[in-house]
Amino acid sequence: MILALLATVLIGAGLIFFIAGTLGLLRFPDVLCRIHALTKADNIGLGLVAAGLALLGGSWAVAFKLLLIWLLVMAAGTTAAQLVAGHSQAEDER
Amino acid sequence: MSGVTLALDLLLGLSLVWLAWRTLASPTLFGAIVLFIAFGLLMALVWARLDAPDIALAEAAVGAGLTGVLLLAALADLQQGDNLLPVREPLRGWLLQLILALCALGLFTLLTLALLGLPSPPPSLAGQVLPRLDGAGASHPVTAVLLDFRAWDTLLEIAVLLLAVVAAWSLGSHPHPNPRIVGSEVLQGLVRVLLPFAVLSAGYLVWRGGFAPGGAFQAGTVLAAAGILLLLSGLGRPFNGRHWLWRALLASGLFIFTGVALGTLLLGGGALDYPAGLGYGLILAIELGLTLTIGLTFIALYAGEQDAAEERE
Repeated sequence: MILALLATVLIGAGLIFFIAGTLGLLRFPDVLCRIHALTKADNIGLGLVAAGLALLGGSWAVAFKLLLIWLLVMAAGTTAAQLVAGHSQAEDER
Repeated sequence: MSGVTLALDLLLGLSLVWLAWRTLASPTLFGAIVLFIAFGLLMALVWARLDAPDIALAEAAVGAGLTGVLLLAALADLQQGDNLLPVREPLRGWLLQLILALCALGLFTLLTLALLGLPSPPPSLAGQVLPRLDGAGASHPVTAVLLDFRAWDTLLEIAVLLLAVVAAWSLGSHPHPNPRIVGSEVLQGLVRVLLPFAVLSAGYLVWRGGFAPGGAFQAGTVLAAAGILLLLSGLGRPFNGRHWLWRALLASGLFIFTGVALGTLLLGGGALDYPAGLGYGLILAIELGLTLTIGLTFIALYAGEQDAAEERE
């Protein structure tokens, strides 16, 4: 019961980061600001959701897989953000 | 609880329709492609909700991922010519729009009638497949259907994939990736980390296909994604489709599949009628070949003809 409650709180907190990231994506003025907002959702938001799901998963194997997914998404997301930012900078200088 | 899941399913379905409409209505091709990728990912979620993880995996990997990459590559080719972003003409004329709307409405009505006319419970082949699983070479029903009961269909599908590469090459496709965008050090770092994971996941997906959702199509797509990342990062050498080794590997799935079909035919059973006890091993061998072929097919479709580019330069 306590575990489920804790999981709900974690997933809810993660969703707040996703909402904030989406709002930033829609409202912020330029590419760099938008990336800044999005990476928050990707990194912390997904981490909180994964932590919540790991509590509900009921086994260490599931928790480990979720941890791996979080790490891989962070690596991919960070790289994508860097590439988009680099591309936008190159476009500006042109 | 069921109210919440119903609301979630309705939201998913409506988002899908909305995304499909936005994809068609998008003024730029780039926007349409991005929306199409989002549509594919949502579609995968819908398949997962329908308890069809095999199709969900395939839709996410092939429908959203690799089709998206191929569409973006095609768009880059379109823009290379005259440096103009192709803008699509919106549909003109109220008469045309009216006719299209009526057609869509008619189709919708027919589909609804068909759905309402289904007997209860709806017809299913599960009753025929499940009792035969014991004698099949794979304990996962989807794999058993694809590679045992209806292996002939899958064999022809692989031949079609090979034909697609031949057709794409004979069109004189443009080489990818564009050398100007290759070689980001950040991407190289990521690819170095991801590549072992990708190969491991591909192997795991093939092996898992024998008894659970997974299999050659999903594994091949993971390999293809790894290969395309390798090309984009500049770590891999440009894909040379003319090299005999690439061509042999490209055809390996079809070769193994056809070989097994001929072998079983010569042994006296029907083609692809696996001898008792050998089913699992033969299916695994075919699946491994298919994984390589599917992975390389997608890479070849993306990379185009490198040699043609060298001749042009």
